[in-house]
Amino acid sequence: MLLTQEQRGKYLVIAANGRLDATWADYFADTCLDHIRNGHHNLILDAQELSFLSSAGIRSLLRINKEILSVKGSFLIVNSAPFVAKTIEMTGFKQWLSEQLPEEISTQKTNQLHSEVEKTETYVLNPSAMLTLSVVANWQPWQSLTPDKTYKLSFPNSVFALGIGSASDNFDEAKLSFGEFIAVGSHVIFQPPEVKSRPDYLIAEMDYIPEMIVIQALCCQGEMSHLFRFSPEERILSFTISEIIDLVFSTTKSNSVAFVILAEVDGLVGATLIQSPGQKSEKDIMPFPEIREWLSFCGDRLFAGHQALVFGIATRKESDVKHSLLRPLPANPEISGHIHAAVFPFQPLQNGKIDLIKNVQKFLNGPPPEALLHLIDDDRPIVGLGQSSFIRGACWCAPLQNKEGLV
Amino acid sequence: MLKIYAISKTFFPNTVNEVRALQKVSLTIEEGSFTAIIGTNGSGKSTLLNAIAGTFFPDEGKITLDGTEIINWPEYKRASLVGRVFQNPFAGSAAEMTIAENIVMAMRRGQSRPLRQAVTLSVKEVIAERVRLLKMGLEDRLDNPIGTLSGGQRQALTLLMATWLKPKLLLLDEHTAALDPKSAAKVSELTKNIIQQEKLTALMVTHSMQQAVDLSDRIVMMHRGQIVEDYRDEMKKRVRVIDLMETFDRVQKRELFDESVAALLEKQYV
Amino acid sequence: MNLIIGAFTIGLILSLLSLGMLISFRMIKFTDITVDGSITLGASLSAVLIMAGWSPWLATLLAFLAGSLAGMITGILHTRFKIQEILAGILMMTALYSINLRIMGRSNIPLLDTATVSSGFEKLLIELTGGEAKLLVFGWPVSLADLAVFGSSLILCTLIGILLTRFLRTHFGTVLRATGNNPQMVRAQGVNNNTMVIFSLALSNGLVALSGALLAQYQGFADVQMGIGMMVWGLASIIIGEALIGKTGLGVTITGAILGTILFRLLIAIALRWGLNPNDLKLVTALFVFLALVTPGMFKSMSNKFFGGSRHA
Ligand SMILES: Nc1ncnc2c1ncn2[C@@H]1O[C@H](COP(=O)(O)OP(=O)(O)O)[C@@H](O)[C@H]1O
Ligand SMILES: [Mg+2]
Repeated sequence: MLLTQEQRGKYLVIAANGRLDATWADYFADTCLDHIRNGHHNLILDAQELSFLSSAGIRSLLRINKEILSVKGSFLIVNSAPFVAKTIEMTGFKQWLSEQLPEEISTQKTNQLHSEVEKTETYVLNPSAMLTLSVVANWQPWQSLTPDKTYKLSFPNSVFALGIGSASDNFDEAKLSFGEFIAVGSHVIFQPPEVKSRPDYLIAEMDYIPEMIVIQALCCQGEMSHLFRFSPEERILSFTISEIIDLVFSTTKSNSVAFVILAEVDGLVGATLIQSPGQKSEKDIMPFPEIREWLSFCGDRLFAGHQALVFGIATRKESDVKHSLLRPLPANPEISGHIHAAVFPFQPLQNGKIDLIKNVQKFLNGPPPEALLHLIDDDRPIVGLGQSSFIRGACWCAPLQNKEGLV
Repeated sequence: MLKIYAISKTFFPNTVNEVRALQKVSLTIEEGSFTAIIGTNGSGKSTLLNAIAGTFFPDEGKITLDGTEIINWPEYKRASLVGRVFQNPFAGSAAEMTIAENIVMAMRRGQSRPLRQAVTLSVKEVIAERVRLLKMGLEDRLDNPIGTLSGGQRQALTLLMATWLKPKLLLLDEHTAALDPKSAAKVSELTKNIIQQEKLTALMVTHSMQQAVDLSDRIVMMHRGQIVEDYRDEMKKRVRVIDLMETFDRVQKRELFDESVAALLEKQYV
Repeated sequence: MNLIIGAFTIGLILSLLSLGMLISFRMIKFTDITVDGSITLGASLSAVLIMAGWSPWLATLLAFLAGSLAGMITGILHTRFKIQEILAGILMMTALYSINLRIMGRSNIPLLDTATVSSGFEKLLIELTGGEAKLLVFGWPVSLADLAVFGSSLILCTLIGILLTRFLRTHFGTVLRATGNNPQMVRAQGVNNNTMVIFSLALSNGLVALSGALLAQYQGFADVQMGIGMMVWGLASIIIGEALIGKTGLGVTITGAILGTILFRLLIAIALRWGLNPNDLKLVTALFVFLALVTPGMFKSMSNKFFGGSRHA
């Protein structure tokens, strides 16, 4: 089977030459799913040279259609020979068939594929929206823990937070299970501090509002003011986290911001607790190699091709928001920040202006998260892994207003 | 059954090439269990098996097998208790000698070698009967030199030889690694059947995590001369190849976590 | 005819040397140079004992045992003290040179008019033929004494050949053969391969010394120099045997070694007859073995040509 692609305006026309049967179905579906991943959400299959279509072929078309529906794109089959058309009709997918190309299709053809999102697109959600930052618990490595340093935090819709906490509801149990968490509007993802365990999550349902005992939490209340989409261009193949933060600063025109990113990962660099700090005895410093029993470092740029849900807080030097939980980024020491990322298997995002909470929900309804990291900028000479970076995605953001005058 | 207490082995000690192949490894194997050993290349898996088989003596530690302290036993003496299959399909049999002659030697593993004719007609019948069960058509070729067979056939025969007299312990060192995929699958299957039927206690080094998951009832992971993970009982039943890969990852990550990372995290991890 | 019978007799006697070397060089794959010393040891010890009035049979048996002891020591030097094979053999051979001189007290001992292992057979022949000194063989007169040596060598050699074959087919013998093939496998079968090496070298050098004892009795003297080059001769004989009838089975290999030795002797006798300078004999033999070693395919294809190429190793 030979596949040739042609970009026509927002549509990608794929001409298939050969038999779409069990032998070629997976190749065909994978090629098309790749296009969808790369942002082509309106596919047209030119079936003129398609000589055969089996049930395996139909199944691959279904896979593609399902993916396209999930991003609200469109899928059409044109020029199909009578046999192919009949097969599609009889299996009940007549809606895919079209006599001719859509009217609005561009007559301009290019063989060079480019996604519909060419550069960053910005959407203003609510120009006056702000987030109120509060530090509700302030544990710092590796202080010893007492119940009075903990705080019971609940996560209603309007809260975005990150930090270290436990889903247990009393201190004695919780102290064994403090680990990193990230919360985006009553969706909490947390990493039990054990080498073998996967991240877990809590979601608001009916009357239930997620709650955690936290020992460290940067908590933002309010709503997002802007959304921008980013996607690779000719020269830019990926966006580092500090580049995205710069975009956030310029979008919000503020020196202190909070942001949520949902994006395809190019590589993540970070660390995770593997033992609960609650088990620690009186010692404020953690020497090497003992620290290896407490923290796991990624060791490599991980999770390429996965999708990450990131929540972070960043401030510029000029900002009056200062806190020891916000640490300078080596890539740009003018900026201080604290960023956590949860990693999910890949699911495509719809193009354009999309809703944050709905998309977070979509991810949590899909396959479970695989990891949760505190992002680190590894600037060690030669062996350094660099910053985390992303390929394409969406970033919601808002300026911060300082509730307690953090200094 | 097999108890290993804190054995260590260092090759080329006190030189630049020093390799600490085993570092105080302890392991207890229960009777009738089938344990797989996995680990990166050079992690000391073969060295552990060699220490049990007596190919060399460890620098320190103790090994008891079936209640007997065997640490001072030479390799050939341990063979009365231990059956072995090597990674190299040619290592387990004498190439220039016939299939029957090779097997007849295994029929008296660890026993006296009397001055009686070894390959008699009746012995050959017994051999043919068991070789037939391999379904390789080798029963008609008992008088051919074993060197004329393929690696897979030789490995199947070596397995048969190692288990002809029920060993207290069967040691398999990546015994399917050097075979083509089809032969490997066949020998793998054969291994499973023999171990189940004879209720053998076995220790198998394997590079294939799938094989470890499929065949064994316990998985031990080694790294840098140490046991870093031990999946057994309920844990083993749950474990999948992907979990083993993750464990490998974790072990390697830990390795990459050096002092420079510690300094990095001290600045940035809050 | 005398020449031919002589060559045959020496061939038969030396085939014991070849059989001994078959065990060390071919079965356990041990390049054993002790041979040059142990053949002289057999000759000198039996000569001294026979001269001292011992029964030739007992003397020959003791020669066998002495050779075994020498082989055993080489084996121990190699396995116990981790000395390389060749060096262990050279050490033993060098030591044996002095030992042989000590045994004989001088560099050679003539054995004149003494009883030998073939004496009994000779008496029997004389009785059977009614006192004739010569017998016609294919029309040629041959002395009864020569015939007796030939006959007894033939019987002895056949007997040892059969015994050796049967021994190597026992459980013990099977393991012995495997030792040279794959010592690791032998250990894995619960056998101490070092013990097997020591035993094999003892047996091998015992046979070599036996051959030496018989040679001394046939030639009528023992000489401290007689062992020089014997190892290469034995090797040449084994190679010829393998080329002649191959090595497809144990019986075949052993018969091959015996026939090879005889053929080699005949070739030498003919060459000498045609005027080859006896001093060049060792050079020619060494060249022959050299060729055989560097062109392994040559002799194999030769045997294939002779026997239709149907055999496979
Ligand atoms: N006989 C030996 N001499 C020297 N070094 C050895 C020997 N056997 C193993 N080693 C070294 O010991 C380490 C462990 O080897 P091994 O046990 O074979 O690893 P594996 O887990 O791959 O089987 C390796 O670094 C290897 O080079
Ligand atoms: Mg190995």
